[in-house]
Amino acid sequence: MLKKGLATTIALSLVAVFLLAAGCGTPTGKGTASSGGGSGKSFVIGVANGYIGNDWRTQMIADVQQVAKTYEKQGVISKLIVENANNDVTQQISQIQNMINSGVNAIMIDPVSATALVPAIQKAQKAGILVIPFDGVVNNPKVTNITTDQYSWAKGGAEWLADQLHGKGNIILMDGLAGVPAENIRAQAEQDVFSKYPGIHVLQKVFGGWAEATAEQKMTSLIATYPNIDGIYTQDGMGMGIVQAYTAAHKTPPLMTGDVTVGFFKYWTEHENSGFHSYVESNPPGIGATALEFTVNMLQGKKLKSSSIQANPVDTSETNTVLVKSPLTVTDSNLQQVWNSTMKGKPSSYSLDAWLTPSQVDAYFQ
Amino acid sequence: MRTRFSSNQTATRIFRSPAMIGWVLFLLGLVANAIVQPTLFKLSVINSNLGLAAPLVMVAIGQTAAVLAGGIDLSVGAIVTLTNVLVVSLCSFHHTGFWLAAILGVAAGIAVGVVNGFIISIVRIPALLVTFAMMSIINGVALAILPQPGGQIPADIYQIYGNTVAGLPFPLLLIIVGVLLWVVFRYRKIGRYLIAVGGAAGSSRANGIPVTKVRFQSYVLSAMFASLAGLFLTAEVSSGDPLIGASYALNSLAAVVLGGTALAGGRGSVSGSVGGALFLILVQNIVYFANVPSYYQTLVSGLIVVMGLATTGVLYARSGKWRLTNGR
Repeated sequence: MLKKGLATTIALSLVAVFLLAAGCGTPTGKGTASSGGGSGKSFVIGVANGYIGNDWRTQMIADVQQVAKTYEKQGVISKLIVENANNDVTQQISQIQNMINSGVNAIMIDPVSATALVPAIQKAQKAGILVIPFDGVVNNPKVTNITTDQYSWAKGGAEWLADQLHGKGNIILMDGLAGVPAENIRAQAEQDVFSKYPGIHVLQKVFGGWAEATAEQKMTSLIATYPNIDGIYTQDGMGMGIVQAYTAAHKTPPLMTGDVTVGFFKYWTEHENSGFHSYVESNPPGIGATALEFTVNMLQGKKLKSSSIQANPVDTSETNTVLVKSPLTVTDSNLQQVWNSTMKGKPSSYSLDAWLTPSQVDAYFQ
Repeated sequence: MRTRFSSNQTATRIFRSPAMIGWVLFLLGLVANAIVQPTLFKLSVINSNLGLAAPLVMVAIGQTAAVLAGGIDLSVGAIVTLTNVLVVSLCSFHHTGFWLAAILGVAAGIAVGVVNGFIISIVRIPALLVTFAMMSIINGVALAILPQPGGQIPADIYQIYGNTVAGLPFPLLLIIVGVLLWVVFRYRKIGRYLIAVGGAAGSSRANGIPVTKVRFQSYVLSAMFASLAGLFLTAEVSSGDPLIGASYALNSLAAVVLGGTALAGGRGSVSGSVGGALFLILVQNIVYFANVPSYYQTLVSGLIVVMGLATTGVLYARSGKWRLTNGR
C-alpha cells in the first residue's frame, strides 16, 4: 500500500510539473516578434550559448544581458532568450530549432562546433532569421561571425614567452580543449611562433579544459615529472590552477603567460617583487555584448563595410568574419595601473572585461 | 518464453509490460510539449524533432541489448563519433562515395563492438571497465582521424534526411527500420537468450544457453546500432566533429531506464527504450517553450528526468518485477 501511494505521489508530481511548465509558458516570442512598424521596430533575439560551465562564459552571458537591458528600455529589443547547451552539438541544434520555431528575429550562436550547425543555420536563414555566430566561428559563407582575433591573441602570449626566454628553454603548453574551434586556431598560432625558435623545446602539451581545477591537476603531475620547466604557455582560464599547483609544491612558478581573472592578478601583484613575471592579453567575455551590438545594427538594416569582413580563421577560404582585436595587454609595466583601476575589489572569478561601445561598433558599418 | 502469455491475457500483458512506462512518459511529455508549443504538430517541427531523435533512439535500442544481457556499454557515444568522423573524412578528403563511406563507417563501429564483446565475454573483464576504456580509446582515434570539425557529406543526403517521403518524415522511417531491425533479432534465439542470460547467467548456462556467445553478441548489437546512429547523426549535421557523440552514452542509459529496463539486466524491452528516448527529446522542448530561465534549465530538465526515473522504479517495484540489483 505504501508503495502504491508513493508511486501515485510521484506520478502526480510529475503531472504537476508538466502542468506548471504548461501554465507559466506563453510560447516564447509569439506575438512579440512582429514589428511595431516604422522606426520603432522591436526585436526578439535568441542567444544559443554552447557551454556555460565556467566563469568566463557566465560573465559573457551576464554582459550580453546587461547590454540587452539597455536596448529593452529603449524598445529596440522586446525579448532576449538565452539558451545554454552542455557542449553538446545535438542539444544546441535542438535549441536553435526551437528558436526558429518560436519566430525570433535573430539568433546569436556561440557554437559547439564550427561545422555541425550548418544545416540548422540554413533552416534559420530560410525562415528569414539573421544568424550571428560569436566568440567561436561557423564555417558557412552566408553568416557573419563576430569574434575576438584568437590567432593574434595566442600569438601575443607565445611571442612574449619566447622573447623572455631569449629563444631557448623547456616549456609546457597548457591548451584548452582538443577539437574545439578556438583551440585549433590558438594551437596553430602557438605552433607558428614556437617553431621559429629551435632552442625552445616543448616538454609536453596538455589540455586543461580552460578549467582551473583540471589545470591544477595536470600541472601537479607535470611538476613531479619535469624538474626543468623554464616557461609555461597557458591559454585563459587556467593560470590560477597552475599557480596553485606550484604553491602546493612550495615552488614559485616559472615565466608564464597569465590569466585575466582577479585571482591571478592578485597573485601577480603580490609576487611581482619576488621574481614572478607574466603577460596577460585580455580575451574579454564582453565579446558577447559586442556581438549583440553588431546584431542590433544588422537587424536595423545597416550594412558592414567590406573592409570589416575578413577571412574565417578556421576555414580561410571563406570571408565571413569580423575579427575584434583584444582591447588590452598587461605586462609588469602596467600591472599596478590595471589592477587598481579595474580589478581590485572584484570577486576572484571576475575576468578583465571590455566590450565595444555603440560608436566603436558603428565604425565597422557603412 | 513467449508462450507464457496466452492471448486472453493480452490486455494485462500490455499494461504490465515494462515498455508501458516509457510510452506513458512519452505521452505525458507530448501533451505537456503540445500545451507549451502549439506549433508542435506542424510537419516541419515534427521533422526537426525526429531528426534529432532518430540517433538517440538507435543508440538506446543498442544499449538495451547490452543492458538486457546484464552488461552496459559506455562506448556507444564514442562509436557514434567514430562513424561520424570516418564517413565525413572518407567523403570529403578521400573522395569515397557516400554509400561506401557509410558502409565502412558502420563496419568500423561494429568492429569496436567485436573487440568489446571479446574482452568482456571471453577475457572476462567487467563491461563497465572495458567499455569505459574503449570510450577513451575510440575518442582518441576519432580525434586522430579528424582533429578539428570539418568536411561535409553530399548536400542531397542531409536534404533527404530533413525531408518527407510519401508524406512521412524521413527520420521516422529510419526509426521504424531500426525497430524492425531489432525485431528481427528479438524473435530469433538471440533475443530470448539475451534476457535469459541477463536474468540468471548460471541457470542459463546449465540449461544449455551459450552464455559467452550471447554476451559477445550483445556488444556487437549495441555497437551496430550506435554506428547506425552515427550515420543518422551525420545526415543531420552534414559534417564531421570529433566530439559529437559525447552525450550519447549517458542519454542512452537514461532512455533505457526510463523505458522500464532493469539496469541489472534480464528484464525490459526495446520499445520502452524508444519511448524513453523520445521523452528525453521532448524534455528539451518543454523547458525551452515553458520559458524556464536559462540558468535553471539543466536543473528543471534534470528534475523531470529524475521524476520519470522514479516513476519507472516505483511502478515497477509495485509489480514486483523490477530489481535494481538481481541479488548476485
